[in-house]
Amino acid sequence: MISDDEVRKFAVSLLSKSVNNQVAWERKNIPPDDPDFGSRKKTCYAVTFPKSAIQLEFTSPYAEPDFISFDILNDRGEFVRRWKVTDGGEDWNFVNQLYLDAERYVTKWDQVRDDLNAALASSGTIGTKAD
Amino acid sequence: MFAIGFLSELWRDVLASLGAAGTLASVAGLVYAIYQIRKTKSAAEAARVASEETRTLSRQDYQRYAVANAVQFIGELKAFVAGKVWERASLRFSDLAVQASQVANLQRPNDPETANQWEILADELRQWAQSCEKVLAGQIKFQQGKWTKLLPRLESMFHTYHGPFSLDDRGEKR
Repeated sequence: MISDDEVRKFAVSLLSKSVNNQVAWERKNIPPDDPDFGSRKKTCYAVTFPKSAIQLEFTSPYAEPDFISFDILNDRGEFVRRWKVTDGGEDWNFVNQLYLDAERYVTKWDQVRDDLNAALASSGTIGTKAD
Repeated sequence: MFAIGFLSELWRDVLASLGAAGTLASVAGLVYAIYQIRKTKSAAEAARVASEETRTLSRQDYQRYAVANAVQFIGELKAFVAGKVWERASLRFSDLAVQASQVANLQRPNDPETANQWEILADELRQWAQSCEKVLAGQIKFQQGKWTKLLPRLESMFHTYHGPFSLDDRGEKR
């Protein structure tokens, strides 16, 4: 059994690597038969290791606080540990930061922003025609 | 077997005329039967149209009733949420879920897509009812931010179907 403290340590280490672009996050599709599927806005990011994986699942229920599930899986994709962190709880800030950083890595919004800034700061005509 | 070879020409003509008259009578009978069947069919069709119109009118009446109830419930709900009366707020969320489901059922024959939107709203309202019970039990905090987003959407959906210039059950202006 992986304890809460160990899971928390994994999350902290993952965050410090993630902000340095050292975690290969991927977006994962949520299966439609998932029990929480009816909730609004549910996205999942995952990172896979040789014999395990970690996934972060953001759920925004209609009428309850948002939460992120920090899940640890084995190499067969089975859940080994689920750590649920709720908006307003003590671990929310850094787990939410980790989730947002995974989103940054996958969507590359930081690179998009830099690209736009560089283009808009340059003189002359900007942009290329899309063929 | 009756042979007609012994009849005179006059009798043969008489018999032929009777046969022709019989055929004419049969044709006339057939035409009359077709006329009667058509009359019956158009009466049945008229009855079907009348029944459909009655059904539509009663559906529209019921929708007006459901929406009028909902508009009243929303007003009460706002007061209960503002006063943090969670037990009553939960009850009103449940009541509104029922009204939204009714509108969904009324919309389904004419507009399944709109019906689905109402069903989603009903599901959302049921979740709000449950969450108020959890707030009452001290398990969670009331989600003021989400409520602030829900309220205008809730009012807008019901108000679209409320009042003299609102939409009927076919989503058309009255």
